[in-house]
Amino acid sequence: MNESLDRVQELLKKLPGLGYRSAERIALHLLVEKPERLEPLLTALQDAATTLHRCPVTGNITEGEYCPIYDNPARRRELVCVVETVPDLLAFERAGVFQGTYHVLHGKLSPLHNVGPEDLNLTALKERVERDGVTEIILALGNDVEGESTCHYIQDVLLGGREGLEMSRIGFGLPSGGGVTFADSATLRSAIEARRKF
Amino acid sequence: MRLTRLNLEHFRNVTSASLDLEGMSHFFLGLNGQGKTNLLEAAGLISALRSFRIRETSALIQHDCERAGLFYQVEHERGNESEVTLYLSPKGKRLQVDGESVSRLGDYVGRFPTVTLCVDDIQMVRGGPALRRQFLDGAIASVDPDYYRALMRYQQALQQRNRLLKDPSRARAQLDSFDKTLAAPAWELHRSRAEQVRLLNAHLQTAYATISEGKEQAALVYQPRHEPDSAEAFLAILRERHDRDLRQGATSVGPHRDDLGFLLDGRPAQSYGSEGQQRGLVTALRLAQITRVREITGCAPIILADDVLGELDAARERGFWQAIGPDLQVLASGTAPPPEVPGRSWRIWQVESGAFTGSGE
Repeated sequence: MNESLDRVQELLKKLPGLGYRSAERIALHLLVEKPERLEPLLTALQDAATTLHRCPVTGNITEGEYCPIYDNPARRRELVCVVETVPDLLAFERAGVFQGTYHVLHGKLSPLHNVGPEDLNLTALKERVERDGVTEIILALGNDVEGESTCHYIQDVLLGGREGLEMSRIGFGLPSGGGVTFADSATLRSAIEARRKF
Repeated sequence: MRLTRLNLEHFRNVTSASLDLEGMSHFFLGLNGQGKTNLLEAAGLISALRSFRIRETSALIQHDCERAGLFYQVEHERGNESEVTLYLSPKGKRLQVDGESVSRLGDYVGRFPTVTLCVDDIQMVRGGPALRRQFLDGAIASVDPDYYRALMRYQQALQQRNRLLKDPSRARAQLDSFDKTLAAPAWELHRSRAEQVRLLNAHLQTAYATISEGKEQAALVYQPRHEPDSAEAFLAILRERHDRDLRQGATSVGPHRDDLGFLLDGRPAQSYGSEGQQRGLVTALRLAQITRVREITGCAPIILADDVLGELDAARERGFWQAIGPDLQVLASGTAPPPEVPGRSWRIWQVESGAFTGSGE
C-alpha cells in the first residue's frame, strides 16, 4: 500500500524474534502513534553503532578498549569461560555465578554452513591463554553436534598438548527444580555422567 | 493397544472421515486408488509420525489444502485411554497428546506402537541394503527413544563430516573433531543393532517355522562392515580412513553402510529363495518385530496389513494368523473380501473415493 512503510516493515521483520505482526506494530508505533520516539531511537542506535565494538581479546561488545568484565580487576583472567554468543555471556552474567572472564566465539564449527575455525574468534583465545597465563578453561558451548565438535577442536587442535591448562565442559543435566521422573533418558544419562561428590 | 476412533481431515484423498474402530478386526475393501492404503498410512503415523510410504509431509496433505489433521483415540492395556491429535502442514508437524503439546519426538516415540505389513516388504529381501537399514532403524527407533536420539545425532554428525570431506583444504584440521562427535552415536547404533538383530533372529526363526511348516531353516544376520567393540575402536577405524574418505568425499565406514542378511538353510535368500519363501521370510520378520515390540513396550502393537493377505499361499496364511493370535487389533486392506480366520470376525468397510462406510452403518 505505502512503499516506504512496507520497506520499514520488511527490514524490521528480518530482525531476530520479530514476525510479520510485530514488525507492523513497531513500524506503525514509531511512524504514526508515537513519532516523537523515532528520533531518540535513531540517535541512540547510531551512537551505539559508532561507539560499540568487539573487544579484541574476549570478543564481547564494549565501548572501551577492552570488555568491562575483562578490565575488571576483581575478575580472574586466568579462568576463561568459552561461549558461543554474546547472549550466552549475558545469561551467565545475569546468573552471577562466574567470577572469571569470558571468551565469545561468535559461532561454532559447521561445515554445512561453511563455518570453519578461521570464521570463529579462536586466534585471540590461543593468544590470551599464553599472555594471561590461563590455567582453566570452561567450555560452555551447546550439546549439539556442532557445539561438541567445536569443543573437541579447541581441546585437541587449538590448545592441544598444553601443560598446566585444565579444561572442562559444562554439565548437561536436570534443570534446577526439575524432578527425575519426567526427565528423558538422554538428560538422565548426562546428569549421571556429570554427577559430583556430595 | 487398540485404536477405538480415527478421524481424518484433508489427509491425501480423504476430505473428512470419522471411523468408529471398536472391535479387533477391521477390513477395508475397495478398488485400487480409493483410499485404503491412505487410511492405514494415517493409522501408522501415530507411532513415530513417519509414513511407511514417503518421507515428505507435504504429499500427505490433500491437494490445495493448508494442513491435514488426524485424531486418534487409543485404548491402552494399562487401562488408560489417550487422545492424540496430529496436524501436518508443509512447515512441519504439530502433536498433542491428551491436550498437551509434545515438542520433542524423542519423548514420544514408543508410546503407541504399530507394525505395518505391505506388499513392498519383499523388497527388503530383494532390494538394496538401504531398505534393510530403514527397516531396522524404524523397528528399533519406534520403540526405543534412546536409539532414536542416537540415530538423529549420528545423521547430523555424518552430514557435517561428509560436507567437510568435500573441502579437503579445510578438512584436515577439523576432521578429528568431527570424528569424535560421530564415534559416540555410531557405537551406540552398532551395539543396539547387533543386540536387536540377535533377538529378532530368534523370533524370526520361530515365526518362519510356524508359517513354512518347518521345512527350511531361516535366519537374519547383522552384517556391519566392521566390528568395533567400543566408541574408541570406531574412532580408530574412522581415523585410518581419512585419506580414502577425503578422496571419495564421503564417509566410507559406519552404521550408514551396515546391512542385514536373510538366509535360508545358510544361503542368501536374495539369490536362492523362491518368491513364496521370500514372502514367508518378510512375513516372519514382521511377526518377529511384533514379538519384539511386545517385549520392549509391554504392549500389543496394532497390526496394519496393506494388501498383503492375498499374497501368501494358504498354508503360510494359516500360519500367519496362528502366529498373530486373536488379541492383536488388525486393520487390513484388500481388493477382495478377507479370508475366514478362526477367532476373528471382520468388520468390513467399503472404501470409495476417500469415503468409508462400515458394515452395519
